[in-house]
Amino acid sequence: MENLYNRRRIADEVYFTSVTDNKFKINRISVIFITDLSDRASCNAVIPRLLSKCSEDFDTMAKLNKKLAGLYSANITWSVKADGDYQICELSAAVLGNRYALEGEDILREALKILIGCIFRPYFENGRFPSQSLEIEKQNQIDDNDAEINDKTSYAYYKAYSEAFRGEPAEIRWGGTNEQVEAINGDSALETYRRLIDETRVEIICVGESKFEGVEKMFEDAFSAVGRKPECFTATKLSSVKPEVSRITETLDIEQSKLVMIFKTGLRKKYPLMVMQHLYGGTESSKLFSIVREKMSLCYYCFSRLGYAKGFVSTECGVDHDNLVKTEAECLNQLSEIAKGNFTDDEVTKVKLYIINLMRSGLDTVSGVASKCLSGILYPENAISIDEMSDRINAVTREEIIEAAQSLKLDTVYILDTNKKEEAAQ
Amino acid sequence: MKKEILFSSRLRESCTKIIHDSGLNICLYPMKGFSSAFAILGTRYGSIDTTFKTNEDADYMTVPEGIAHYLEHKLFEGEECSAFENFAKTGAYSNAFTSFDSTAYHFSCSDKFGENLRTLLDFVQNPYFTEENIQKEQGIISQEIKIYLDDPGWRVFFNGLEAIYHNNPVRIDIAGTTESIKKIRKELLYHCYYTFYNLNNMTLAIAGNFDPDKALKICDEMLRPSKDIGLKTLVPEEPYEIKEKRVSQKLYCALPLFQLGFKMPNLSGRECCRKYIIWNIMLEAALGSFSPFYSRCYDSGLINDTFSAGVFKGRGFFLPMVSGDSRDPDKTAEEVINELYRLRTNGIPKEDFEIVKKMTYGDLLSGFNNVGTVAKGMMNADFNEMDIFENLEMTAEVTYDDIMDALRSMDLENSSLSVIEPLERE
Repeated sequence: MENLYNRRRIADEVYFTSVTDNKFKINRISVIFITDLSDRASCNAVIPRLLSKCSEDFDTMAKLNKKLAGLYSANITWSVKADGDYQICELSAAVLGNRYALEGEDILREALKILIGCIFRPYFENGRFPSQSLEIEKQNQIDDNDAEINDKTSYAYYKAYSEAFRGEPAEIRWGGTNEQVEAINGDSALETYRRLIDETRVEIICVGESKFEGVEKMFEDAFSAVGRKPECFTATKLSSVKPEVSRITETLDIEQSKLVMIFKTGLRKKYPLMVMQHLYGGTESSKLFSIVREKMSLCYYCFSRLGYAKGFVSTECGVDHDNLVKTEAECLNQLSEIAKGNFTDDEVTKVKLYIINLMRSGLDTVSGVASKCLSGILYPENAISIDEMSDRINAVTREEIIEAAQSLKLDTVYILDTNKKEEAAQ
Repeated sequence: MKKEILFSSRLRESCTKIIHDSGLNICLYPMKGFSSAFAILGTRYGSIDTTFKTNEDADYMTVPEGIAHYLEHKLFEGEECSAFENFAKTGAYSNAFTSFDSTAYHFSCSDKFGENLRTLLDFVQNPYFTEENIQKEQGIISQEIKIYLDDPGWRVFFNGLEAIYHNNPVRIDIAGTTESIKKIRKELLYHCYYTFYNLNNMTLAIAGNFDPDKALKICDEMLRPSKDIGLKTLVPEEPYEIKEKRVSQKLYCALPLFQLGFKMPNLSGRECCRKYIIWNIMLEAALGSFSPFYSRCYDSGLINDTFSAGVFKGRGFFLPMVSGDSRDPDKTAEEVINELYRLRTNGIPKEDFEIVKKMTYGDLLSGFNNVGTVAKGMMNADFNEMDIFENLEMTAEVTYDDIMDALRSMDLENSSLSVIEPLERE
């Protein structure tokens, strides 16, 4: 990664990466705090919310938002997500390129000053986050945790995911638990804020039309004032398959049942797994799409995804209750067909072209470039160029695809079932 | 063939608009530095177009709800293989969508653009429907409909439209119902196809990495001239008043979801686009992220980050609306209406208006950063008899009086509130 995007160290476990591409009209600067998923997840998740709302320079949300709006709709956004065994907390500024400013303003520099102010000079009252703001953001975090049920597809997926990685850091959701959120107080919020700034690994990733001159120095100065004592950075661990398949069914008053299966693999061959997963359920010409959806008309969505770091492949679909058994059997059957080598070279070629196309197209967006940078940082095997990745994908053999499919062992089956069984049959 | 080069002095970029001899409008926007291209072929045919006639028909014909969407699904099917399979041969990503007033088919690729363009033009011009493949699609679309029946965000939106409109077909779900799609037959699909998929009613837009001359040559080879058939759609009379003041439904969700819609006379074309910009600026200045209203409601816990205010518009509908999650939707709706009354009397601060204009300019320019957004933007602009750069000019011309006139023209009592209440889990 150091060679690929000139990533450099600017403080103890703080790294700076910038990618300039004149085709873009915007710039995005992301400050990413990487830490292990733990019982601190809830508190970690609340801090970026607080930081994005105000700072010493802009002591109310209205003042901050007004200033940003005047910078041609610049924005400062927070995001928190779980990735493998990591929790990724991010604050980003996205701004229009300076060349489009109507009055010659330095939009990037102005927005950067605001972002740095939000991160390093939060608005405190009596040395703490204001208690009213803290309580609002705690409630918002609880509401977000509960809102997982709003989207039944992702709700079912994360229930299966948590079960598959039970007892591992990856079991923890990005926002932790509501009990942990409720337990946050002024002292623990302050301590967590300090820990994020002082101890987590930090990646600053800038992507856009700017050359980002002087940006590295601004962050270097900001971090030089911090007493960094970085924590030990633990790599995401591979998950082992359960001795017996875990089957969970939850029944709700919904129209459509959801089926999620999680398979695990100990195979450490990224590209064969990637090609196999796309052949199975990653494209419109895949087995799951062409057989389970198009030929058997069982569902509208039926796809798979690969989580290489944790070593899993999932299958997800939405079906009528009466078709659950048939769908599960056919999804397993299609995987078994690949494991037996029942696929053509033509199918493999299509899948390889699709993956390469997707990877190349990803570099046409600022967020795609930033994701590629972060992926290479978190997982060193991804720290290679798209050309090199393409070569590795093209080099995947038929035997390796079969080996990858054979390596998958069913670990968890989660069904979110409808209670409208009598109406479900078509 | 008529060709016009359009130049934006603000972006310092140009695009080409062509009225092709076949009747098709073609918009081309090569984008330097991008590795992918995005092409979209769309028709002015959406879920609202259920009653129509051509010069060849004696009277208007009404077709089952959801037929435009059904047709979109079926058009991918070919006599020998599906369009998905042809796109897969090059690794392209392809998809389609049906909205209220349009249907469009698109692909993106970083290689073999010409082959993919041929596939797109070929399958959209060559329908292949059989009773058997139509029957097969029912299971897939029924499952798609059921996904949305469980989605509180989708339901609050459609329940809201049903409460506002008595007859306007925008109140009908895009995919129809599991009952209405059972009435769809081969002859009906062909009739709708030959009525609406006339090249005079369609637009092709391409953006990104492609050669315009080669693209045009392929169009010359593949487009079959269409004669104008005098298509007319019937829009039912819509009373001035809303249908219902408040509607609610219970579904699984964390917080109640709400949508407050203000009924307005229907608009179409350029005037609709101009008013869309004016009204969005007005709503952002009145209720947006730096308004006193937003801070007051956020700080009291009444609203959260999901709150938004804007205009939902299309051919034959123009609906300012406010939506989000709230612990007390009725109180939020009351606060919104009171604030709009207050601003009608006191006026929106002029400084805030100028800031929101800058925001809008920044947002519009940022949209030119992505090949897909540009291609879709060109198609939509063409459907409204505009070009993609005109929104920038329209924004520059908006005056303070325009937004105050918009605010004063709102009938704040002629509004409907749609609410989704959380369904308790046992």
